Parts: sequence; C-alpha cells; structure tokens
Amino acid sequence: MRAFSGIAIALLTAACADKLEADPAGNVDEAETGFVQNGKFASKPLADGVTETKVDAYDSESWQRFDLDTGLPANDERTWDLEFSRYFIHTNSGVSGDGGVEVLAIDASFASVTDAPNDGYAVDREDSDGDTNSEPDNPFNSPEHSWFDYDVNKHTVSAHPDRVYVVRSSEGATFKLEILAYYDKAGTPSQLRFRWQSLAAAGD
Amino acid sequence: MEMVVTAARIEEPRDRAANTTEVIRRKEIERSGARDVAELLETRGGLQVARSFRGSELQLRGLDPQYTLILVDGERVPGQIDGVTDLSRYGAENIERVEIVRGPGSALYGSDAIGGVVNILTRESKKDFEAQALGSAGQNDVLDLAASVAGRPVEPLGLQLTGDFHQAAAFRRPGEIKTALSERRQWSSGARVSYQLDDDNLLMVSGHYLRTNFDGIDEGAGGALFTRSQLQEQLRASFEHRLSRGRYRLSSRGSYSQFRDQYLLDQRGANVLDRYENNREHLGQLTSIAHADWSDSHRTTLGAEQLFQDLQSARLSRPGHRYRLAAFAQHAWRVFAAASGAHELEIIPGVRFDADAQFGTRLSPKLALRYRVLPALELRASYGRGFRAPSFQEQLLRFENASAGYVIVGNPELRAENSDGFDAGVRLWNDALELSATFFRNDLRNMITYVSRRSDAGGMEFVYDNLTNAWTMGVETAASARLDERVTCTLSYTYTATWDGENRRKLEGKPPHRASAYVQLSEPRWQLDFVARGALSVGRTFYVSDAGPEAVDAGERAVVPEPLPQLDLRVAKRFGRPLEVFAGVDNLLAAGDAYTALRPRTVYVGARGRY
Repeated sequence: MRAFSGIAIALLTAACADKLEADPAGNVDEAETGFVQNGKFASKPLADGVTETKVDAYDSESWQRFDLDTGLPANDERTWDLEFSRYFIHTNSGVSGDGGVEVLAIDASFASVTDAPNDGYAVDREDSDGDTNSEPDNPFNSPEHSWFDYDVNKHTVSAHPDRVYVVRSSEGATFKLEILAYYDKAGTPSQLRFRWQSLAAAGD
Repeated sequence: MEMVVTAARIEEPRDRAANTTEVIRRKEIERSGARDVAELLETRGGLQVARSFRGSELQLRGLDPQYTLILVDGERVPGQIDGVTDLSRYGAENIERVEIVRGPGSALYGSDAIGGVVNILTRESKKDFEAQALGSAGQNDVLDLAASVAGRPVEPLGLQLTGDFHQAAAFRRPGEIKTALSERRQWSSGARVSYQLDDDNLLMVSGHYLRTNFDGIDEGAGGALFTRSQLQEQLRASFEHRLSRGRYRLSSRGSYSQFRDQYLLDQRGANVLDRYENNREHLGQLTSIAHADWSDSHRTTLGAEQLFQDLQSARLSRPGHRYRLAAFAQHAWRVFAAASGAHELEIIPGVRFDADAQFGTRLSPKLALRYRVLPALELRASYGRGFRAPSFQEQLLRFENASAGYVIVGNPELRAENSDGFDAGVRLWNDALELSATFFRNDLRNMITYVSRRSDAGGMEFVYDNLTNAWTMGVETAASARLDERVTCTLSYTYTATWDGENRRKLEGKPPHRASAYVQLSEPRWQLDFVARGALSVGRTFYVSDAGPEAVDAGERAVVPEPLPQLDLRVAKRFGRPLEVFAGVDNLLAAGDAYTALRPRTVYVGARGRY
C-alpha cells in the first residue's frame, strides 16, 4: 500500500509541468544596415533621391502615420499623408482626414513614372460593396488598383508588381510610391516595405 | 467463451454481441511489434491511420477521424485536437485488448460514434504475481521502455503498477525545412488497485499520468519559420464498482480527466509571431449500466450517463462548458433458436436520449438483427441514427491568422451533425477458416464546415455553419485462416466510395481500395515467431491548390498519388516463458509521400522479460 500511496502522490503532483518558454534571446535577426529607425518606421536613402521605407504595421489596433514631405512618422492630424495597419492603407483625405491628400494608381515601372498626371486622383471615400472589407475606398485597396495580390490557396499577400501610386501630399507636393513587400526577412507579416521619391526631383 | 464489452457496454459473449466485435488480443499486440494503438491499427482491414503534427488519427469506413469514437476502458478521453484523438498516446504495453465495433454506435454511446467505436482496454491482471519489462531501440532514435508489476499482496487486494517511455525522432521530407512528423518523447505511469469485496462485488480505483513532448519546425505564410514545442499532459483518475449476482450485473463508474496542452511557437529571426497557449480541459464522467439476462431469449441493458466538460483555451472567445445527461437502453430478443444452433434469430433494438447544455436534445435509435442460418453461417444487419456534437472549437473559436490576414470564428448556434448508418453482412466459419463480407452505408447531414464572409472590422473571416452533407459506402471483406498451429493469416479488402456534398467530389484522402494482410508463422520447436503486417491503399484522391487542366473546383486540382504500401516485419525468439528477444523492421518499403507522412524505414531490436 505504501508503494501505491507514493505513486498516487507522485501522479497528482506531477500533473503540472513547467511552463514552456520561448528562446530568451529572442533569436531576432540583426537590423538591416543603412536604415534609420523612427518609431515604427525605418528609412534608408537610395540613389537619385529615392527613399526606401519600412513600417511595422502589425498592430491591428493602431495606425502608423507617415509624412512624405518630411520622410518621418507624423502624429499631427494635418501633416500625415499615409497611414498603415496590417495590409490597409488610408490617405489623409475624405472620410479619413482633412489633409487633402490625393492618390492615383499607374500600372508602370517605378523608373518610368517621371511626371505627375494632372487629373484622375481620388480621396478616401465611404466603403462601398465593391470589395471584401469595410475600409474606406481609395486606390490602395480598390479591387482594380490594390497594392497587393492575395493568393487564396496559399493565403499569402504579395505586392502587385509595377504598380506605382502618385500621391499629392498634405503640403501639395507630388510623390511616386511603390510597395515592394509585405513580409520581412523572418516572414513576419505587415512589415510593409516601399520606395518613394518626390516627382519634382524625379523630373529634374 | 470470449467476452467482449463494447457492443453492449457490459461484458457479454462475443458471438452474441449486437454488432460484430473485432478483437485484437494481448498476444497479437505483443507479436505485432506495434508500439502504440496507432501502429497496431494501421494495418488492420478497413482501418486507416493518418499522421500529422497533431498525432495519429483513425479513419474508419471512409469517414474523417472525428466520426469514430475512441474510448479507453469504455470512457471518453479528453485532449482531442480538432475533434481528433491521437492514438499514439496509448502505448501498446499497457493494453490488454482493443475492441473495434464498426457501424453506428450512437444508440449506446451518443456523440461521435457514427463510423464506429474503438475501445482500448488497459491491462487488468488477475494473477497472484507477475512482472514484465520491455526494452527496444532502433533507427530514427526510436526507444521504447516499459515495465509493469501486478499481483495480490494480500487477498482480496489486487495491485498493478505500470510505467513506460517512448521516443522517436522528427521526420522531414527531402528538401523541406518544416517537419512532417514531430520529435516525440512520451512518459506515462499508472496504478490500479482492485478490491474483491465478496463473490459479487468488485471495486477498482485507478490513476494514470501521461506526458508527451512534441518538437518540430513549422512554416508559415510569407516564409516565416517557427520552432514549435508542445507539451501535453493527461491525468486520469477513475473508480468502478462491478456487481454480479446471478443473471444481473451492475457497473458504476466515475472518472475525472484533465488534459493540459502547452503550445509554443517561437518565430525564427523575429519574435512578432511568437505565440504561447496554455489550454486546459477537464472531463468528468459518471456512468451506471445495469444488465439482466432475463432468460436465454431476453437480455436487457439499461444505462445512464453524465458528462461534464470544460475547456479553457486562448483560441476560444470564452471558456467552453458542457453538461450532458443521457439515458440508453438496449434489448436483445432471441426470437427463436433451434437446438442445433441453426435458425437462430435475434433482434436487438436500442435507443439513447441525450440532453446537452449546448445542442439540446437528441434521440438515437438503432435496430440490429442477427440470424444464424446454419451453425456456422450467420447474417447480420443493423441500422442506427447517429450524431456528432459540435466541438468547442467549432462553437467558440477565435483564431486570427496574422500572416495571411484572415480570421476563423466559431458559431455558438451550431447544431449537431446527424447521420443514418446501415450495414448488412454475412459470416461463415469453421475451425480453420472464417470468411466475412459486410456492406455499409453512412449518410451525414448538417455537417459543419466554414464559409467566408466579410468581417465587421474589415478583412476576410471564416465562420462555421451546418451546411454540407456527405456519404460513404462500401464493402468490407475478410478471410482468416489458421492452417495449423504454425500458420495463421488474415487477408482483407475494403472497397469504399465517398461523396463530399459541399465540393461535389470524392472525400479527400480516402482510398477506394484498401487491402491488408497479417501473417504469423510460428515454429514451436525453436520457439520462433515471425509476423508480417501489411496494407496497401490504392486510389487516394487529394486536391491541390493550383489551377490546372483537371481543375474540379476553383483553383483546385485532383491528384491521385501512387499506391501506398506499408509493410512491417518482426521476428521473435523465445527462451521459455521468461525471456524473448526480437528484431523487426517498420515501413520496410520506405513508403510515404507528400500526402501521407510515414516514419522512414526503422530497424529495431529489443527484449522482453517476464516473471
């Protein structure tokens, strides 16, 4: 009986194993060189006045705002141009803000866009039933001009190639912008990477 | 006379059971070389074991694993992942026998018993003293250790202690980083005490603890890699009182089980997607079953059951609670029986009523017929309605796939799935040969699937609903021969046709043709046993998601991989009763493909000692 009591006690106390813990070092990749971190954004100057920017838009509860005019994150209601959360992008216009930002999508290579078209720009409008989300409609998330392609079989998001957005900023400047990637090197989603350039500079 | 328990929930002679009960006995378990129940069942006729990172799951009569009820000592077990019980949790060394009852069993067992019931009966020593130890090691880091001691230190007290350890390396397909099968390390220990109060009354108390570590590598959308660690623990305590007086028997059981599943995903190269879950399930069951042999012609089983289940999981929008009350009755009426043993007709009606806190009430009737045309020729037929209660996951899930940007949500309004099952068969036997053939059909309705919709917050959302239906039908045939004491063999072939009403195509992964063989050669003079177990699955259809000329659904293409042959061999040499040494090879043909993960060929050696 003593043996059984011992086993029974062992059984009851053994029912609670240690908590599983992730690698304490976090095994995080080293940061890419050349990028200057500013809040959730990191930017790196490329040749010819082009800038490459990364944003951590993983937090679905908040929006990460960016000011193209300064190349920095923006907290001011008036100066931000674009805001990011997961795979959604808003512009500071229409139902999303009072910044007067406008966007136009062009299917062309980034290098080939050197001038800002005069018309065809859109602001953020109330969501219509033409898509599968309830976000405001703008060229970034419209079915025809969406920045991404969604593979319904693999459930992966990839940047639509050769799609350039011309953005008229809150300061009235024009920029061209192309989204390059949705996942970072470690496969983390909502790590949007885009390159952009002032069209005043591009036209020089 | 061989006794079985599963077809009536109480002991009865096998040849009078309402449904044909297939029994895998202790000797066969030992000779097979199987390490766990999954390995034991994977080469049985008509059964199929699918392996994934969730473990090993059983498919019966063309149905998915959640439609076959898995019991341990007649009780439900906790820790189902996606409605599926991992059969490799149950080590072979602790098992006395496995009973398989095919066909609808909801009239006795309620939810999940649509395709059939598999009852794993743990060892229950009746000897004054016995001790056993087993050690086995092989390729792919396979290691199995088991020991048990049982006896009667003082009459009328019986005591049994068991402990075992199993491990196997992870398996990854060539060229892949992710693991197809996890590395597995499993410990278990158990104790059972029985007390024979008097000639009529037996009391039993038992406890069992199981701990399993799974380690593997997962790949997410977007190329993220994860080191996955899983730690599962299962604790079970139960008591049972058996009363046997003349023609009457009463069994009262109670059990409590707890299942804890810790799940850790550690993203490589970042920690944004790291995830830790601590899921805990409590399962309590109280069962009373009374059985009366009124006369040679009338037998009645009456039972009542209570079930309490509680699941706390980070994946659920709130903890799941379930309470279920059920009552069931089954009566066997031998309408006539000639003294010769021929022309014996037995009618077995049964019904069960379930009242569940979540899906409401459910009535599951059944009718079985057994007609012995000749002393060695029997016809059987049965019809039963069955159901499967929606799982907590299907009702309460809240899971966001951040990499892909979709959400899966449960639906608390789900109803139980229901089914009609029918089978009819013939069995013919003599001392050396047994032949059988059974036709079966299952029709499932209100099956739970998920549909996509637009979420309130934007983005895509999948929600569960009772939307689809399916059927499976086929013929199971088997021939067993015992040519002399040296040669025993069983050959079986099952044809299965299936239909998935949602996608209007065959059910995925269910082979229309499956053949299996068990051959045992014994040489008594040299005390040698040789066992070969094999199975062949032909015509499995899978649907891959790239559009092509054979597209049968939006973006999906049907693929029929090469036939899948499985072959295990084992040879054992006994040195009297106390010692046996053995060697074997699992998966001799190195089978396995992109659709079916099988451990690679594994050569092993070992020894078993007995006192």
